[in-house]
Amino acid sequence: MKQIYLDWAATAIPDIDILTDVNRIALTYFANPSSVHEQGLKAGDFLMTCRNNMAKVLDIRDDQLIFTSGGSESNNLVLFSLLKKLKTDSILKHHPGIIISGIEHPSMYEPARTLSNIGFTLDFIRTGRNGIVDLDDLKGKLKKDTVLVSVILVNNETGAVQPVESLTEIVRKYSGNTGRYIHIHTDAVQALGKIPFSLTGSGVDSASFSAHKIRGPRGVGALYLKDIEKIIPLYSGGGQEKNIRPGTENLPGIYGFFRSAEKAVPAVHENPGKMYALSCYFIREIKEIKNAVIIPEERLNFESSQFSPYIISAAFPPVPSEVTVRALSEKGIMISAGSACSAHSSLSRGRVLKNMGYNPELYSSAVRFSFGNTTTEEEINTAISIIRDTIPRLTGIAGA
Amino acid sequence: MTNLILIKYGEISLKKGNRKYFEKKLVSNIKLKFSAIKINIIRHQGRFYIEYPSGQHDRIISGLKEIFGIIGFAPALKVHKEMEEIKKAAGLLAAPSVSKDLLRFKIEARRTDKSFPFNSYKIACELGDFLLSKYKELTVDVHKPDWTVNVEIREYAYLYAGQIKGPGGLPVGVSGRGILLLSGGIDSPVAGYYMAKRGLTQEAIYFDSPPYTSVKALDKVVKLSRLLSGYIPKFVLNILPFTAIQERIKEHSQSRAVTLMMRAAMVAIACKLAKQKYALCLVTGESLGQVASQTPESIRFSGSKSDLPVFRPLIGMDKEEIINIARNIGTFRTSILPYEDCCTLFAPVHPIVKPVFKDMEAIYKSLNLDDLIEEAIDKIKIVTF
Repeated sequence: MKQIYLDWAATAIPDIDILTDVNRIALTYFANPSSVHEQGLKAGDFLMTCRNNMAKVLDIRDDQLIFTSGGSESNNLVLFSLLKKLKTDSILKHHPGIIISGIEHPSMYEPARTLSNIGFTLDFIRTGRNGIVDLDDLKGKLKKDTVLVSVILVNNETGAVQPVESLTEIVRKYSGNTGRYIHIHTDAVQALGKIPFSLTGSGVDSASFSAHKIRGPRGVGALYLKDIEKIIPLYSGGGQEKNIRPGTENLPGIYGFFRSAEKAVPAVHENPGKMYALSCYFIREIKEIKNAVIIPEERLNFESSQFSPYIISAAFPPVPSEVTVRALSEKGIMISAGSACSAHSSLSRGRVLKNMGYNPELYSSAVRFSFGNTTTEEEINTAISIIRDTIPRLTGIAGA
Repeated sequence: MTNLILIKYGEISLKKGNRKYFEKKLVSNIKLKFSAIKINIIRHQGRFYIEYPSGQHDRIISGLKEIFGIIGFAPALKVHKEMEEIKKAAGLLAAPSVSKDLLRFKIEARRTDKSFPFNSYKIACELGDFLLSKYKELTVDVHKPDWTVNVEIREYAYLYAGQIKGPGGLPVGVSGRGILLLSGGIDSPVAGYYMAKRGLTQEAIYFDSPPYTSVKALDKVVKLSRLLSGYIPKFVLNILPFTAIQERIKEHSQSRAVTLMMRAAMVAIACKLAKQKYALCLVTGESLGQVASQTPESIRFSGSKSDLPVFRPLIGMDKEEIINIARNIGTFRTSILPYEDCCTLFAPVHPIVKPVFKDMEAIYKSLNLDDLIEEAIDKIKIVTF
């Protein structure tokens, strides 16, 4: 049976050329980049080249780039750095505010909740049924003690692109009035190589990235920091990564990340209409299935820039998400129930769609189809015909 | 001096005619349990002694707690029939109690070998004096002792103290074989445990219905089976593909009857399997009134699909009681892992609580499940433990 992989948002199919080169680099530049002998110097030089090149791809300065183990670490680093930046007394007295959306990835949502348990005030920006945050609601939630605002750039379950640039304008204006700086962070893991965006143009203070979502190796990611002075490191060690993320650098991983970004990021501009057209076609076909609900329902009416064409959320009530996932898996179609990262925890299941105003029957039957740059029209067509065969049988069983 | 464990078995020593058979079964179950360890079992007048290699003490002790038929056991010592050696052994056996400040003791001596120069009373006096002189804080209390050193003089002298409670019951296998309907829930493993305690060896059947149930739900049942295999030697899990049957039931019955029809089909399948396996009965974890399919009317109908007896050891228990036992036997934590064994798609919102037998019979007949059942039994996958 041919397998069709439509779970790229969980992890992308690795690029064989890149992973082969990563292996070669690991063997060639094996030395510790901090060592001062010949081999170490070579590795150090190579690391610098990778960093320069990666910075170019992201259109930032190389001193603004911190390599980490992935998106989750990058998100956690920004949030928990607040703990070291603010004194315990001050946290307990002033209850500094964190504002995030209710549709954040668990690696942002959970640490924010942890901080709220130890003295921070946590507010959530309201999200519309379209999956996009309501900036008017944000305006009402900014307070003089707000220290951080974070919104995911492309939501990992619905593909909704958040208006981060406008958000930044609002926050900066507010900051201008109060004279207090507010850190703006965005989780850009699902945005990199999928939609066009500019880090400097958006004005954010920090952004998280991950290599394995763009066909690079697992276990490597990055944190963009507009001004590294604004982050207090969580760990102490040998001073690597500007001391913000000490530990011997994962040189082969960093190289693989750069290579995958170098391919994926410019490709966003190459044929922007192709993936959008394919996603619209997929949505239209899925919509035809009895009981199918595209999330959000009116997705096709939105501008192409408001949704990542690589992520599509749909529900087939009353069939539970897991059943749809397993039934399609039996037929060779690999998808996820909601978000793969939260599939471990029953607590976070459905949070994103719940925040968009969907009811339990709908969010417990939601699944995510996600595409990548090797997804072909033929694969989409095969998937559609299998989905059309499978779903009515399941909804029929459910008596719907 | 040799370390041993004395094993006492209760009920089986009462069953006169079958005693030999029961003892043989118990010995073979003990051997199976410790097949990876070299042990030697000495039978003597209603009790066994196990000789085992040094370093295996803890493993033997924890294993014995899972062997039905054993009412108690105790660490013991085997020494030559020399009074000095016997005293030394008594001193060793007394030490753990003394260190726990248990200071009232007595000696119980039995002399089977009449050639031994001391009679039972004399043996007790000698050992009592010895212990009193060795541990000054001790006192003799023959009525309410904190602990007792037992001495038996046979071909060797055997001494033991500090009895540990065994699980009781009958050796697994003496009551024949049954088929346990095992789900991933709390109740059915407990039911299997109880029937094993009455000497019933069992194979389990699990009704697997992918994609409606997940691989993780199956993994959970495999884990539960592994836990049950601690109590039931040579335990076997039969995994039956149930999807097609479940779908037929869902498509052709009124939705309120779906659960009951599924239960009935499961009983019918388990009964067929039981006959193939020369089993004499089925075992379920039903508890009266716990859910709609466990009312007397529902049980009458589902039970009617088996002409073998269906044992329901939990029928009169509260959920709380069942949970406590599940905790004690170590299955609770696995049972509550969050992987459903029954897909919500098939669970009616308002199931029939008081089904009318003949109406249910008519629905069941109309489902024509026989072919699907045959096919499913042919496709059973087996996991052995």
